Amino acid sequence: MTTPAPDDSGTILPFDATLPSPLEAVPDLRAAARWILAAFGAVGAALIGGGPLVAVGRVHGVADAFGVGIALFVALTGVSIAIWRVSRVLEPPITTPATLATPALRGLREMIDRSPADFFGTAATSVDDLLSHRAVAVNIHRAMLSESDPSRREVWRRHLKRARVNIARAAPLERWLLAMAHVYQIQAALRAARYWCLMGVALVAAGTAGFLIVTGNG
Amino acid sequence: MDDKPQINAVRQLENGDLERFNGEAWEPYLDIEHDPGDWPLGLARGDDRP
Repeated sequence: MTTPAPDDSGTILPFDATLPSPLEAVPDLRAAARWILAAFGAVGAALIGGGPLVAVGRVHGVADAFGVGIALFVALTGVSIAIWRVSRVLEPPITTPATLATPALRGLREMIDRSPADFFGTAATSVDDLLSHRAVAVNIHRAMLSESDPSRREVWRRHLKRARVNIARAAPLERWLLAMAHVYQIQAALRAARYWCLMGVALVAAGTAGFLIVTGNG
Repeated sequence: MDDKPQINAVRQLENGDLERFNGEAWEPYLDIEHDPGDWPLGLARGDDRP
């Protein structure tokens, strides 16, 4: 486990210098995706390269040729689906605070909001609470500008200063949260791609079986 | 007509205290405490490997 710790001089190290970034998981996730892509690419190459060679001399008539074509099409569709879905893992998603409100990240939000103290300590009681300070500062600023009473305006100014300090103190946690959301999206894409790969395998198997039936009869 | 404020709306009380609307109720707007012990735990790359 890695936790922020004092250095040799007893000074507390800066937050970002000690907390491991969740982004460190991204290369491993993408490496897994590349392996899957390579595997399905090899299957596709074998089908395209080997299928027609096997079929030569065993296909007699238009009906057989049509059957072989359909079977290859089904098998290659399976390969294409798998490659298309897995390649989405390699696309860099855009992660902003607005992304945290999307259904794709509901699981992450629920996990954090179940035990916010483990993630934010006393800094926030939920994801929304952590992300509230910028909006609060904007609203304070607007209220300050619309205040005509100088004394109340001065109070708004002090509140704005507090909100800005809160923004600064929440910023490292926000960066960590966005990094976690970024990784979570990639992990979810990889998980979904695996299910699509299963479907792709089924299509490849069905296409291959059809191909063997047609060419075997020939 | 629904007069519910927007989330993160702010208001100043007579005594000068600030409140924030959290989506359900008004609550005092508090300062974040700066405690290094609050930082989340985590595993560094390589911690899970021998």
